[in-house]
Amino acid sequence: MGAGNDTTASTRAAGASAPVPAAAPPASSAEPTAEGRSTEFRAVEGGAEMQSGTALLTEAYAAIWLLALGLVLLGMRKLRRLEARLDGLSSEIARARADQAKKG
Amino acid sequence: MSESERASTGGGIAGGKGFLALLAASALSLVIALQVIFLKAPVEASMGIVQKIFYFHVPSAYGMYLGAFACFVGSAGYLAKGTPRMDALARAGAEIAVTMGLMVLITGPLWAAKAWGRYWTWDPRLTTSLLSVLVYVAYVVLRAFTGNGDAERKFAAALGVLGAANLPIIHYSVQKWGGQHPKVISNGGGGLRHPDMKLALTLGFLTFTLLAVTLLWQRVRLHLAAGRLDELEEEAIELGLAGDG
Repeated sequence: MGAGNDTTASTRAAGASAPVPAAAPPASSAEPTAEGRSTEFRAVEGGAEMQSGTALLTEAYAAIWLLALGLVLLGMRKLRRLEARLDGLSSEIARARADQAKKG
Repeated sequence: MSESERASTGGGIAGGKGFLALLAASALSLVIALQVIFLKAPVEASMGIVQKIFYFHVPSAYGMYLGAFACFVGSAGYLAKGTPRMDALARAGAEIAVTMGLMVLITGPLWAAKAWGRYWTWDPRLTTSLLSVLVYVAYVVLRAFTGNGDAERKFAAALGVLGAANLPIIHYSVQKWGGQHPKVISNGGGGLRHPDMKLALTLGFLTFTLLAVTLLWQRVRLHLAAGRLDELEEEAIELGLAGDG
């Protein structure tokens, strides 16, 4: 976008009808040649530059709170189940003892 | 279940008032901590936003120490007194140590990915932390898959006592052996340079203390209830009530 505007401005300034690049690269010996182009792709070593800090932070917090909430909720569910079983068994035992007392 | 039985398992199990109050306090503390960490504490100059993992990474390591300490006290208490309450405390402590330890081992590498360019390195503090979590995983697995007899409890209690020996090694590993792990708030560290950073860390510690105590309370009650259920099942078998599930 910016390069296009520069091109138009420089074209107007020159008064020419044909568009001329504003910053045409100077012809020099540093100009890439066909032989000098990349022939392979290599990954960044370590990969830190590719990691988004925000994404890592979000993942860390999600992991923490999933673990904590998971443990609390699973614990509460297991406690409720145990309590129900304890209540049922206690009353059954009390009934059985009462029956035994009547018989004996 | 009678009131005395409820009391023996730590109160009216899933919905005990004390437990719910503690859970509410933990949740409130968490909300305030999140607010301060994300909206008030400044972004760190060299590492950027990923440094905010610190405000829960360090407190979760502290929570692991709390769980491990509870496991040590419960294990030593069980070896000395042999009471189910001490055994429940040791078991609950080991579970908290594993949970908090996993938090440390997940959040640390995520931070390291950005700060060091790799998730893991065999740095002394990282290695000793992993070793400690594995000790408590061994404790939890041992209790889950072996019987609940006195011999198994004593064996686990010995592991709980010996496992605590690694905790000071984790703490002092940074000072003694160096490595890549930062030492910002321990001896020789430069500390946090902004008051809002200090506030965020303090709230992180408060939140994880409340969370560790809440979880510890709940797990102790759960193990006491499970122990009481075992006793009642034996009583039911003696009375000829077995076979109804």
